[in-house]
Amino acid sequence: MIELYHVAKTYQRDITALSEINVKIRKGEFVYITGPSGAGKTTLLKLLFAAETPSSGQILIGGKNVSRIRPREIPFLRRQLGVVFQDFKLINHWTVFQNVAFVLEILGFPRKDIRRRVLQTLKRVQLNHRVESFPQKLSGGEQQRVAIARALINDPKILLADEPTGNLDPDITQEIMTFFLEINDRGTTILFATHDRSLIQAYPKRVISLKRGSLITDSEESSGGFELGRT
Amino acid sequence: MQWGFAFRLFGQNFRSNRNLNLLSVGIIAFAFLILGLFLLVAKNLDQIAEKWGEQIQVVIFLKDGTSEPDRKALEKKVRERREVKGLAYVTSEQAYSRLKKMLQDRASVLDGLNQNPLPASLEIQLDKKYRNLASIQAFAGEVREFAGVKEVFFGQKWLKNFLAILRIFRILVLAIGGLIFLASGFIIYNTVKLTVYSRREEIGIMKLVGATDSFLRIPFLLEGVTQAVSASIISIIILWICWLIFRNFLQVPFLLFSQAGISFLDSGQILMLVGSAGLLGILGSMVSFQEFLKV
Ligand SMILES: Nc1ncnc2c1ncn2[C@@H]1O[C@H](COP(=O)(O)OP(=O)(O)OP(=O)(O)O)[C@@H](O)[C@H]1O
Ligand SMILES: [Mg+2]
Repeated sequence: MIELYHVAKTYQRDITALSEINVKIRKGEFVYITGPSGAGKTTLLKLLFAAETPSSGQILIGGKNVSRIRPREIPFLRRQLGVVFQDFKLINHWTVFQNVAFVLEILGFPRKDIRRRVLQTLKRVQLNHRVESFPQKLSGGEQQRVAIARALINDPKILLADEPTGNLDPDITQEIMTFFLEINDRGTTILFATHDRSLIQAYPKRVISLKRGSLITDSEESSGGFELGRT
Repeated sequence: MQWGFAFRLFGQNFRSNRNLNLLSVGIIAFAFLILGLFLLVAKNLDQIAEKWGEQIQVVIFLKDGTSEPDRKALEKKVRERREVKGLAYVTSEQAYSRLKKMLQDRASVLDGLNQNPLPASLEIQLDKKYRNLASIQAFAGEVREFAGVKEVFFGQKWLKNFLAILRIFRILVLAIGGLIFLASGFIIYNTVKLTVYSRREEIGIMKLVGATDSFLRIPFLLEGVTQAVSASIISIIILWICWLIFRNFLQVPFLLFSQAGISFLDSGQILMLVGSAGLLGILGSMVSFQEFLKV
């Protein structure tokens, strides 16, 4: 489903964010991407949804070469992905409802369907009492859940989640993890960037760990298991 | 395509940049008011020209001693011309008595003449399509060569001058119109650019969740078109109000001077103004959005 070959990313000529990354992720997998701050987790995800282009190497998603994607194809790639951005990327003067509904509006869903699905998804992330609020009036955790609802509203084939539980309390984290595992069971491939080792221990899955832009361990390919997240 | 979304975003953009939008609508309306005024004047000058053109008489003077059959042949030949709608034969005697009548009590000045100096003539009534200087000149030039024709006369000089003035005025209107279009387009381009710029962050977010450029362009196109179209409508309404106020003062002198009434822009011209404004709006906002996408 997702394949990276010799991928490297350099910002501004001399900041190496990623180098020599080789990873293969199968359809339906749940993969943690871990590593200390600045390791390149966000950069790796950005390459996948074509917000950045790799400096070298090839990236394939569902057989499509994303590293050589044409600008006009990018929106259609993104429609197959759900992305929870580390900084949420909510539109502040839109209500929670409008922020989430937008994804379906782009796709031309009928108004009634949009309403039903948005409310259903917001309920799932326990935000049904905040539908008409504006993001700035919400707590960090609530904003994060809006971002999660937006990423999942259209049943994406692939979910790219960048620290999606970073601002959540343990109870809600558990609720969100259950939600993620559920959609993973239904076939959605999930890439989950996190520092949170306890989370990885609580829900053990394949772990890819990065450090200063290099892939240090991939639990699938070595015997180290999720222990290797500790770098 | 979700028009609901496009209109919602357009409304939000308008509200958050209301003063800027109103300012640009005001400026464009002012520019269009000037353009409309010129069009109005041009239209009425055209009407005078037409009225006067209708009154142009073309008279063919016959050579003295043209025989009856020759004259009939000439009449037939002239009548066959597509420019000619009607034709009347005036004998030299008729012309003489007409002149006498015109002179009234001063007819005695004619007594000194021992013979009638007036030639017989054909008075031509032109078809409406050919009542313009170019056609008349061409017609006169050709008819002058016909057998039996002494001279072709028409009120040439004053018409020529009037039409020349009219032509200069039309060029002026075109030039001013072009300038006003350019300026308005530039204003729209700039306002939309500012809106797009103030929205760059959310445009970025919308693109991240899969919006295409053509989808995102629509609210900004709406903004440009709304600005231009509402400005043009406002300018026409203002022009119309001015027209209602000043019409009565202008009507009488105008009628005396030109024998033509004055009238407001017709619906075709109004549509043209509004339509071209709409086009302008599309162009202005398209260019600024496209520019934004490049950076
Ligand atoms: N747009 C950018 N321009 C320049 N350098 C950048 C840019 N984005 C990221 N970097 C650099 O690339 C490196 C990797 O950044 P990245 O955001 O991928 O780290 P991360 O693993 O997501 O960190 P965190 O856990 O703090 O989110 C860092 O050194 C960062 O400073
Ligand atoms: Mg990050």
